[in-house]
Amino acid sequence: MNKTFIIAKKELYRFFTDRRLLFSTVLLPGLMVYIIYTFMGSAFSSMFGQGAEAPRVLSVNTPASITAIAAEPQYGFGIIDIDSEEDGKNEIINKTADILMVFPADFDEAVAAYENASGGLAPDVAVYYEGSDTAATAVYSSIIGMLEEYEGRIANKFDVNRDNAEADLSGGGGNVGAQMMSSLLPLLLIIFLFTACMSVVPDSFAGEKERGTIATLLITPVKRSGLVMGKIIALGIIALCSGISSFVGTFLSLPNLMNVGGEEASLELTAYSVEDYLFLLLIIISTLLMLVSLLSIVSAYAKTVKEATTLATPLMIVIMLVGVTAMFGGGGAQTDFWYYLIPAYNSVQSMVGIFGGEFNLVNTIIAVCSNVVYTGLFLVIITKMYNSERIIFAR
Amino acid sequence: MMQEILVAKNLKKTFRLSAKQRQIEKTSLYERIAVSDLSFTANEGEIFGLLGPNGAGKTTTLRMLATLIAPDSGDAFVDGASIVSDPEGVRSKVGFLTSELRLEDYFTPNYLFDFFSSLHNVEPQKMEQRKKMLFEKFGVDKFAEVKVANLSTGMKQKLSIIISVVHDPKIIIFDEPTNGLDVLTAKVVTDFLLELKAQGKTIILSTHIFSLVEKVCDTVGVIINGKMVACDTVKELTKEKNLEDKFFDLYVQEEGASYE
Ligand SMILES: Nc1ncnc2c1ncn2[C@@H]1O[C@H](COP(=O)(O)OP(=O)(O)OP(=O)(O)O)[C@@H](O)[C@H]1O
Ligand SMILES: [Mg+2]
Repeated sequence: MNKTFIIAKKELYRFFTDRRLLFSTVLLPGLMVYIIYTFMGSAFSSMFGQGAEAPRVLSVNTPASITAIAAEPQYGFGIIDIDSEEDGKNEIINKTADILMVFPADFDEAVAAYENASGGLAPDVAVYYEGSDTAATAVYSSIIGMLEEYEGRIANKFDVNRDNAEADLSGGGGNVGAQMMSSLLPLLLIIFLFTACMSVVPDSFAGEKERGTIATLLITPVKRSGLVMGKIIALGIIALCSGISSFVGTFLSLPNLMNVGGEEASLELTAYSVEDYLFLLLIIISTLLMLVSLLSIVSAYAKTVKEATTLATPLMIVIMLVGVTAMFGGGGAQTDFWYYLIPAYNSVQSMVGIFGGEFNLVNTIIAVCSNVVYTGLFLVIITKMYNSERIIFAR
Repeated sequence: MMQEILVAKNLKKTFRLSAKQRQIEKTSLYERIAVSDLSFTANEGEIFGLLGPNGAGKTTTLRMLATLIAPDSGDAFVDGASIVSDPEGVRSKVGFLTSELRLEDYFTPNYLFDFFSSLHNVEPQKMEQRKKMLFEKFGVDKFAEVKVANLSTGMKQKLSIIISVVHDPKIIIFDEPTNGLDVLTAKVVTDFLLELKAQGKTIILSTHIFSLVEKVCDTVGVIINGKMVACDTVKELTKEKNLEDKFFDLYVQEEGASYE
């Protein structure tokens, strides 16, 4: 039998026969994700209570093309054409309407005549809503999504809110909408992945050092690289179980989360493809491997489990901050490929892409591959550390 | 004719001193020489004792022989395998036991025996046979399924001894084998040493207990301050006076009359 495999088997036996450990690292994360999301889902749907009735969408100079796309089943907005922009804005402020779109007078003709290459300003559409109204905020996201899709269909011949004019007529932001919940998912997932690794890695590396059991292994005819690999494989599998648990929790609670704001406001979230889930899983696995090997380095350096936990705290903070960036990315994922070379950030951005319905195959694959490369690099480092008696016997 | 089985050549080991330690010891040296230029030879089938006071470098020497730490310079050959260039080969030939080697609390003696046997490539059949024999000899059989955490200190010690010889090594290295044991357990251990010797095994042990050396060792190397100051058969060393007096002579010779 291969020695690496024997070591891995022992670590797995240790873990899977310990019911307490099993509960806290595998069952608990999934359960917590499920409870948190379900709770959030019901909390928000009560907030979005009035969203259940059809949103009132006003429009000035409504072009025929927009009326047509709004009537498509995935949007299903009935657009009310009005003459005065001022009246519309007043309705928004008084919350008698959810959305006001203002098109240029000859929108369809201008779009048809516009040449991308000309460099001139494309026809601009202004969209207004009342930001303190949660239902309106959700409808706003949906309308923007619709306009952007239309823009895509006609090859970028007009802009939406080009000058970034204050579209939120309440004048204040800070509203939690359904969109925000989709940007909360990457943050929560990456935190759960990190804590899953934290609950097993320091004990296996620093703990073994602290308890003096590592020397007993080092006098057996096992290569130090084999010892490290065996541990990493086992920890990877354990962390994976924990990751899958969070994943299943997310998966099961999505329907509860999706109820938010009624049918109209549910964004594109309801429509995840098998491909989306597959790549989400790939991202989760590669992120876990990267985190396990990274934390192994920290834990092998530390003298005690406590020290390992302390040393890992800055990492935890960085990971959380990276997760938080997902919530302020303007709702979309980064598109430049080099963002997907940055560890942790690449995973979060890939998740943002997947949850935001703008999944990018190339970037996601870059993220997965770079995570694998980082894992390999970290493995080399930790094997080097295990060959250093100053590190391995540090007391 | 006696067969040489372990040859240590000019072993040297230094440890870096921390800034605080330098201050305490009022020294400007950055390193402490734990073992310097240590050479000796052990013959097959004998019990070789390393005798020395606290801090002499016994443990350091044995850890180098067991390949837990690497020497700064010098080398040792264990049944032909070099501790520097073939540490895995050395590990498969020696069993090492010190109090610093702990066993994981979570596992049972039964599991640990199987685990370490497979790491040492012991055949399953031989493993079962040795497990039965060793567990019975040390009285671990009744506790085979009790987690290490719940074993008494003595039982843990006995299990450690068992685990160190799962692979039936030719050479067994024991650091202070009877330290901290009650007389009964200590006797079990010394009897085991003699039994291993009777089986033709070679044993290297370290101790500061003169009576143990006189009782079990064939050859003894006296280490003071990391240096081997005498190395001969016990018979030869104790020709004129007993081992204790001889040791004091050697110490005075080495350190001046500074012991009190
Ligand atoms: N890891 C280490 N770092 C620094 N100094 C060390 C280290 N290990 C041992 N030493 C020093 O090396 C010297 C020899 O230590 P060693 O443990 O080999 O002595 P010993 O003969 O086994 O003593 P004892 O009978 O007390 O066990 C001591 O002065 C000790 O303080
Ligand atoms: Mg010692």
